[in-house]
Amino acid sequence: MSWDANSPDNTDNADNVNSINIGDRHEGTGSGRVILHSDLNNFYASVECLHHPEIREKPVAVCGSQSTRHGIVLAKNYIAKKLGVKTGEAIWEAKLKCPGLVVVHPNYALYLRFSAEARRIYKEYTDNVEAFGIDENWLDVTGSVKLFGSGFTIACEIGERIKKELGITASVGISYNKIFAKLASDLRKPDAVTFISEDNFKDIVYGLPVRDLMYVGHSTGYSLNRMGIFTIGDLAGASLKLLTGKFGKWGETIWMFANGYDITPVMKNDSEPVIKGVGNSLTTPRDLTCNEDVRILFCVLADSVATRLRRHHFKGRTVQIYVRDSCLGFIDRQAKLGDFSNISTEIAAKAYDIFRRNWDWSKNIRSIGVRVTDLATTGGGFLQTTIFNDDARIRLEMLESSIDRIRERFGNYSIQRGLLLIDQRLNANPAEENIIHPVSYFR
Amino acid sequence: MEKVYVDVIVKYTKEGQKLPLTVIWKDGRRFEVDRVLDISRAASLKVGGQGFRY
Repeated sequence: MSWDANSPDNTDNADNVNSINIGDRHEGTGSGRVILHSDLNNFYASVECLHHPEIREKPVAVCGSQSTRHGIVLAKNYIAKKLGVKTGEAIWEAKLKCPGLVVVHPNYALYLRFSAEARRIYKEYTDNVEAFGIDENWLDVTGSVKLFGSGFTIACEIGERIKKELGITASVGISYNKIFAKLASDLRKPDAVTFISEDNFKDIVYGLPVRDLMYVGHSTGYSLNRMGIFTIGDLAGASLKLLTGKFGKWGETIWMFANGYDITPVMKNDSEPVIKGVGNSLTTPRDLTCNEDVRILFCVLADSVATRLRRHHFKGRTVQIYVRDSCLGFIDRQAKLGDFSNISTEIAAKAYDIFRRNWDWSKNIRSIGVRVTDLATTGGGFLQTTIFNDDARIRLEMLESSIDRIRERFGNYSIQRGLLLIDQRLNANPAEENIIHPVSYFR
Repeated sequence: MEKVYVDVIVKYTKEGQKLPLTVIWKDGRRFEVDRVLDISRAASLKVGGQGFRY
């Protein structure tokens, strides 16, 4: 039973799943690994269409709020996609192509719940589940094939369960490494299972454009094209020395990816990734036009960053800022604090200091970010402290911890800094409001 | 077909199961549950939603 007019008929029989069985063998070959990559199709739009049957047969786009200048297309359904709506474009651009477009505002709590439900299904097959953003996961089922069947069988079963239990569809790729598994899931959408083996990856992968490879973005792709490298096959056959000469270590990494030599493991779901930095950024409802605006924003961001540092028992010594102007150019700069800190006022002051030394106000500011790196743990670890009287800082730490507790009980906006009264429009809760980013592949 | 939100009287068992006993309709009528035939995670495509289907 299929409710998506654009997806093929689906049955409960895994043999009839829309899939490619390429090669005679469905299980891991030579390297022995069986890696799945599951990508929930048009995730936000699919969840919204599930909950609102009345819009399913219409072009739908989930978009951020125009009033807070987040008015871009976050996801679209297949009907909207066929009419030319693209993820990332502004709402007005999408509506020009598709005047009947149904615009839905995002419900992140709902998407997070569905993401957790999908992971619950994955964890019934393996504990080696690694999330890559809210709607993608890698699964290492090498140790599970004897229990549940081949990688192909597991992938089909997962696809069917997601359809039945969650009411949305997924594309699942199977291969012997994470890169090719992701390429496989990208090949056929929606609701498909695709297998790339060591025997046939050259036939399937090498003809693809080089920008289809993970971490080959616009800029790297352009540089590769200028070197005469247009396909993944070209990249795999290129000289490693040439690539490292042009891109450094990165050149070696993408060469390894193209040749199927990636051996990075799928991280277990109970392992915490190493946190290297904590940051928040915001696109503001209006351009920032003066230093006071920026001070307010740094205050908001530093508050959020400091809270998260304390929550994870970290202090940091380096503050980075990121500033994007109204023409979308940007700078990022950093500087060290005098001491390890998770105190909001110190982080905000350093961020503002860096900003004053590096911004000439030739343009107004559209978005701004603060990040603290060079972290050390506060619980059980050893931190080099100052020999000077630290009472004032200790009192500040206690004050901010008290603020954390008040906010936990009564909400983020229950206690705020007086500075934010100057312009309440610039106030926000970046840690909890619409911040969902794919995590880095490299941890 | 439309989605309707109703009150349900539920039994929580020692084993952690939740079993519906009575459905209370919007006009106050009570419908006793004779027997629970199946409990499964499922999405409702007809009226939209996802959760446990009884």
